[in-house]
Amino acid sequence: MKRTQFLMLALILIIPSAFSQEEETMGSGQDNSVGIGGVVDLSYSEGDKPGINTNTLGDNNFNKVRALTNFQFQHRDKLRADVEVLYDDASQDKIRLQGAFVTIFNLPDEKINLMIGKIPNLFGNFSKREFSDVNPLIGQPLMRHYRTTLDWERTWDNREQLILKKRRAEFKGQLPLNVLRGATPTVYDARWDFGVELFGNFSIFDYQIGVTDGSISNPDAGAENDGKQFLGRIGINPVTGLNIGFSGAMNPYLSKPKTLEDKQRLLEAGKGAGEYKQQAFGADLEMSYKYFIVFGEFVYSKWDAEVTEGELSNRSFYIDAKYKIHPRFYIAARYDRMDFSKIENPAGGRKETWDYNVQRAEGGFGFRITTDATLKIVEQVTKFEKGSGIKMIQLTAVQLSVPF
Amino acid sequence: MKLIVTVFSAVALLGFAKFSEGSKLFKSIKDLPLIKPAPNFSETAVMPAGEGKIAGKVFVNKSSGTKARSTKGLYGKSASKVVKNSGSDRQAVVFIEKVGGQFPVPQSRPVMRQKNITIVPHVLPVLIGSTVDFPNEDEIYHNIFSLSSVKSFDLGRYAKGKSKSVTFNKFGEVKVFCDIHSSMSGYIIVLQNPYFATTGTDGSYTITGVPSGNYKVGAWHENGGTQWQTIAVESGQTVTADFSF
Repeated sequence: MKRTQFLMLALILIIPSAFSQEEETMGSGQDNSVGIGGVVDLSYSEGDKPGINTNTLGDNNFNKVRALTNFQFQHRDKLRADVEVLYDDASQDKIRLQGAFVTIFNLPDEKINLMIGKIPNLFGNFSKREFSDVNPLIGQPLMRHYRTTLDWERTWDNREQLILKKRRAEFKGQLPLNVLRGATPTVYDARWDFGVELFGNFSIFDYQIGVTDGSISNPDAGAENDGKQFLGRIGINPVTGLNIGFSGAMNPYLSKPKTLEDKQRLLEAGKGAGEYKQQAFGADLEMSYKYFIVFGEFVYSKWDAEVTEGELSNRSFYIDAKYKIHPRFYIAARYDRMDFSKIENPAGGRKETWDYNVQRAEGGFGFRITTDATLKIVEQVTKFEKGSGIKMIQLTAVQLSVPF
Repeated sequence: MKLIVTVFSAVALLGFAKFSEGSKLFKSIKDLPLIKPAPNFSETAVMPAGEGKIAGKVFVNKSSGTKARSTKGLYGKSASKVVKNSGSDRQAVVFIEKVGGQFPVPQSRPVMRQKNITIVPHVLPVLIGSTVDFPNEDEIYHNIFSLSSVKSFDLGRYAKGKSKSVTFNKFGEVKVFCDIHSSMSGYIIVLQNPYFATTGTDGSYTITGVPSGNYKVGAWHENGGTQWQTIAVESGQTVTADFSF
């Protein structure tokens, strides 16, 4: 852990303690509150293929048991400390610290607020809906977890290799290789990043700007390559129920090679890992009226790599909608796709996408068993571009989501 | 697929079974016959001669706190409200279980507002047959709903200045939430007769114009359920009934 990360975690522990002491002196319990909350998900799915919804940490919204627990300390409406722990029965570590951050509100008013620590991703508008009790479906949009062929530990000095990596799967008649192995997603929601964020709202605008260690596709990168990411989002609320946002981010995305030998092997001569950047631009939409809610996001992402012709980029978007047909029932659907740029294939001399284009549709309905607990049933269909070893994956799942 | 359908059906049945139990707090008055409200109700017009008062105090233990909707409580970009031990949480409703006669609904409708991301008032007692207005006074959307067995409804999202209404035709407790802001909660207590009062910040209450007679008086609090006392009201007298949660 880097020194800055250690300091941030120390701050999170020290600041609330200071306010707790104040409470004892004042002899009043009304200023401070502590709480614990969370959500437990129990899921069962049929037809899932390994890795299709899994991120590099082994997390998967369709895994059988997941529990997210939040410990919260709040001092008046001024300060709040959050520590968030995730349990996922099929992830690498089973339990991990998802987030730990302090939020200082109203500096001096609602226009400026500060968040510091291991914070959630501020790019786009899906982060606030990544938890099962607010996600109308079970899966996540492709742009938020789907692993591309791009490797975050090396740059691709040979475009043939990149295309070969894509091709390898079809020879075996299996899933694209990147789905089975760790590779770079476009925006990595599951891995929160160390950093500082300012946020607030004024007039019809809301904003979030931040500096974090890693990049949006590799939040861990910064810890090893000393890169700092600058990212931000501005939202416009022209009328109640409509929010249109624009996001941008830029940061080195490659993890630093561990040895000099690795550096020579993995990177272009004379270049450091910090010189390979991810640049991303996003637009998002939230619209709601009466019983109807629509969300959508578009992301264009470009990664620096040694591709001699063409750029290494992708474009992805999704749109999802939820409609409540009864106080207890709703229906929801999401259409999702990710398209990759074309690079030249030295073997054939023609251009082709550097990874298989993907489309996904997920639809289903939710039944509110109690005010909080929801049962969801969804069908998810993922289709790969022609040439992929597997053309389509169909998944049926049921999930019980119980906040506590 | 078959398995999923079976699991879903089982859970759905369990869910419905749970909600068909009804409101525990009001079991004793739940089965009273529905009284059709008469138009143009005037309180003084129906008050019989020989009235008395019921007054007292409801003591609420400070440890009783509002239980808002369960929530992950995570990633909140606004300071969540510290609701524990605030005055409104100690608000109780004192009412008479059953009084003979017809009680038309007052012309002025009870109002439950959405204001400053809070449901105001937190506790609203109403006479059966009342139509409650739910105006949104915030710049943002709210989505008021309830899954209570007494009245299940979902008002959807509407902007500031707009209002929707719901008529309550069954006795009991209706817990109200906002689907967007989990810290928002409130209660509507639907009662058989107009002889009820909400306690003040000091816990005191007064019910006036009560016809002479023997009654069962209940005090309801969100964390303590309902407590009962039997009292005798005499003309021109004030009967004291204190409660403690």
